[in-house]
Amino acid sequence: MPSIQFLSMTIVETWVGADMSQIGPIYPMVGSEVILFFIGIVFWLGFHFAQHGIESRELQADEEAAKTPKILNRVLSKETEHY
Amino acid sequence: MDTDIGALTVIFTEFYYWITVPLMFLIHVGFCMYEVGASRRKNHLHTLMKNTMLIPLVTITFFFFGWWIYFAFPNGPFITGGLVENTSALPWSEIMGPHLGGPPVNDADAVPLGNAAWARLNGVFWAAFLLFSWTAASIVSGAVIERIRSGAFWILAVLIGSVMWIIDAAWGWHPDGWMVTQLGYHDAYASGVIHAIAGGFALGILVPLGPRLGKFAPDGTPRNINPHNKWLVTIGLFLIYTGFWGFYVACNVPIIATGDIGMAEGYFTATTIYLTPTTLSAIVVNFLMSLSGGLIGGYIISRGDAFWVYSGGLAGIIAASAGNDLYHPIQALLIGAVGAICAFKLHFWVERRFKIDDAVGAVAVHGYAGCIGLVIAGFLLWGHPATAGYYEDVAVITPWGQFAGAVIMFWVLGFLPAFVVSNILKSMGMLRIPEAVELAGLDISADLADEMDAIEVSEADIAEARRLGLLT
Repeated sequence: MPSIQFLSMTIVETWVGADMSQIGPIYPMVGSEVILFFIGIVFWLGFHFAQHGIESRELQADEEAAKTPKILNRVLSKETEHY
Repeated sequence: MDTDIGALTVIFTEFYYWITVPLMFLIHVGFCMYEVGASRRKNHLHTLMKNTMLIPLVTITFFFFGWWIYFAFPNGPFITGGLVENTSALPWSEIMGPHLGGPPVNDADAVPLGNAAWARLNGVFWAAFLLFSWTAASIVSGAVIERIRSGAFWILAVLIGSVMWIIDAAWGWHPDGWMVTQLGYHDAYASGVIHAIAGGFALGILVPLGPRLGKFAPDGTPRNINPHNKWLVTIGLFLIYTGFWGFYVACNVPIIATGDIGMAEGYFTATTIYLTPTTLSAIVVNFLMSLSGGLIGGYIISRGDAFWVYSGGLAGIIAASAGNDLYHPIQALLIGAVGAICAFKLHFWVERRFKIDDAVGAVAVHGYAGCIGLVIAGFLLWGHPATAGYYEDVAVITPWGQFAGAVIMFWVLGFLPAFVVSNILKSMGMLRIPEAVELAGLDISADLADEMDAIEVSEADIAEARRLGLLT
């Protein structure tokens, strides 16, 4: 395992005279890929949980508005307007 | 990458797949326009967001597990063998990040020295396949507009985009896939692997989801819930055609040495995904001819209805796609017409007979046309080798192999998982929006807020006009 320079996030030390056949990954924090994967999974699943909450609250508010006859009548009468 | 010709081949291949990605991006611009136009105005913003958010969700899940499935599942697994070991496509593989092809840093990584080409191509292949994944999910999106909960759709989008279609690709769109080697399955431009499976998946959701309120009269007669903007629908379909060019090109391998694919040495050729020879000339002509057949067939059967003419064009391409690497252009033309006519007829028959409300005809244009295309390929290409030159045990294309493939794509990998998961979501009260919201429109809150804003601005304008003495 190549040594990582103090205060460097990358394993590429210089491009001067660099041998392409010896250079593999060039992204920061090589070796943290599994941790990054788990962070990604949490990010993804977190979206679904957060979105479920947002949507449930929105649908609840929409349902209250929709049950107002004045609003519902206005929406339904507008449906033929643009044809 | 250490010889001029090797480097040029790799860089050309990299660029070739890269260019297909922005082209295929247009499919999604088109789908957004198409679905927004097809919905009623009271739902159009939620329809847009429903289709838009599948993009990041399918992207990240395709990175986490979809790409790995393609390389791991060609044997089933447990149909012709176990999981195929491939560490390169795992989400923690070094070559999933920027990589110049040198030796691995982590011991678990399997990128050996001298495989610089794959380190450079992995990302563009991943991206091209990702755009196919988005397409599978977008096809489903249109059928279920105006009553599905967005959260439910996004779970289903991940299922079709990052799991089910990529399993079908490993099985039937991979040179070593068991459907290819055992059934002689041939589906060069994805009649089945994208379109039939997405159509079947959409149907699997539509059954438990149910029709939109007001779609069917008490006696069961379907009512036409028309698009709020037919121009947007048709220009969206036109953009989908444009993006489909990128799709066709991305389905090919641009250049490979014939010796590397089991043929006699000394030549180079473009190939299908199955590593069987074809040319870009062949697919360009057949794409245009099958589109033309579909447009003409769609026009005749619908008596010139704009929506069904454009949909017919798409159904035509989809029907001919299974064999467009091989068909004569006039064969592609006629298959395109047959695909469009069948899609139209079957859409309305299924609607009347089974009370299925498919808002945009997605099941017909993609599902039925895709299945019909697979079966036609079985007859027209009967006896042609499905396997690449390095397979001594040649599997040939047959009507029964193609029919079995259509059943697997549409029903087994498409309809069934969608039906099961949709029913689970339904039992949890998560599949469909409340009826009052469906009547008032998904955008009701946003529309009311916009109205309040407009009133506030109008009152401010009146006040300003009075201040300036323009109004008394």
